[in-house]
Amino acid sequence: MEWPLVIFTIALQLACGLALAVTLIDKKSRSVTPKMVRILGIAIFPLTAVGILSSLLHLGNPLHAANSLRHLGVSWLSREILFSGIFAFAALIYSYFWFKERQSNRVLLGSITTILGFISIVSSSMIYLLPSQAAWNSGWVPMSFLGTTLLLGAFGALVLGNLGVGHKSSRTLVCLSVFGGLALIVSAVWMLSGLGQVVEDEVATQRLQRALHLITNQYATWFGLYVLLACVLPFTVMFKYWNGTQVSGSNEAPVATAKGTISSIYTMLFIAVLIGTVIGRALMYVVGVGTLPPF
Amino acid sequence: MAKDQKAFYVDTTKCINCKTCEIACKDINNAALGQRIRKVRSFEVGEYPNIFVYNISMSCNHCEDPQCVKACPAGAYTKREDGIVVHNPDVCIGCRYCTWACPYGAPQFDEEVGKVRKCNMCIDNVEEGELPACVSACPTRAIEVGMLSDFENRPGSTISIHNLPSPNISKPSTRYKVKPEAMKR
Repeated sequence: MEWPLVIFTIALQLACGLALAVTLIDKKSRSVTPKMVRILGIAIFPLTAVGILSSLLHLGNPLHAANSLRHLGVSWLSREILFSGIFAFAALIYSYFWFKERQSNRVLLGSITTILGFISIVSSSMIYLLPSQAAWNSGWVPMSFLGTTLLLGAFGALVLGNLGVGHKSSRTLVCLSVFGGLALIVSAVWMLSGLGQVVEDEVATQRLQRALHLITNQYATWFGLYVLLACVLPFTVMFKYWNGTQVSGSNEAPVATAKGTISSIYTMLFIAVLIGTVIGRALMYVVGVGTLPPF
Repeated sequence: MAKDQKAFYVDTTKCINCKTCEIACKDINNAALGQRIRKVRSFEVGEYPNIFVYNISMSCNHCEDPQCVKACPAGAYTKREDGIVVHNPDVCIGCRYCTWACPYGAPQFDEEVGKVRKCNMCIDNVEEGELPACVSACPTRAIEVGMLSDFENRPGSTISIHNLPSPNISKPSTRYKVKPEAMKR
């Protein structure tokens, strides 16, 4: 299993999604941003750094990692590394602004960071569109990456930021979360519809059927968990939000803790969704390189 | 595409699955345990009583449109003027992306070294007018090396073979002579 790549892609998508959500909250609330939103703003760079460091673990020869920028003209992997590096640099400055509580130009900086993050994520998804990997070679991979970004970012900011239903940016974040969740559902259905197909290429057909067998047998429980945690769970929470109730199902204030106002149920909800997206990403590698023929 | 290029020709009707080519390849490349830079795969197909077997000895196909060259972020692969696709281990970062991109599994990762290896058509031998190790070693003379244009014109020469990936992905330069049952129409 490609765990370093699972962590890398999820961490960068979470960081980019948070940059988007925090920028939206910042734009709407300005000087009165909740305390937890500041912490989320500060967390963007560490998340990016963890992702990039994790990606180094995937390399057989990490000391020569700089060589990965030698083929920018052709290789999407080269481009992904360049764009991820640029995003990390922007995230560093953006997180520093939150740390120092500097408000001037912070929304502009957040917007730039978000755009750079999306460029990085799109280039990351292009890596998987390989003619030799029939299970990956369609639009569901970019859709899954973008859906994960929106879901984790908007949902994370909403529940971890302790934003009440009355907050100016709550509805926008709910919409983004729903949009991200829908994108994940569509990408899962799209992926399943491609597996098991009979195509012109015999080896591709064998691999697609093998992938379908894996997903519906050996990994069926994991696939069910992915659908439940990453696709269904966020919608139930969003539904409550839309109806004007708190995430926990009551109108109680979040539980106060020594460090602030992190409600344990909010955190657990977010962790559950995060685990769901990690499972989904791991399954992506199962249906792709997990079905390589035995050469 | 290079106007003409060096290529392998494998007459699978002569292949007896002895794997001497594999061993010669492993020996000259000092390949790691489990690394099969050339590999002979045996396919048993059909239904009783119409069953048949064919063996495919395959290394890197030095494709016209090599996916490894496009994929590698380090630029470790080069398609030379003579069509041979060579891999430079000095710049390889061991990301394994080429192993995902190649439809034939030609680049293989060496866990110990942390880099990928693949067939370079024994380029040092070829440049000195000698033969690649697999060609020299084959006891039935099933493997040849030469120019693609010559091999393409041989009767029965093909790359469209049952149980092999579609040649449309990377346009392999290797040509095979196979039993009629193994050939895709």
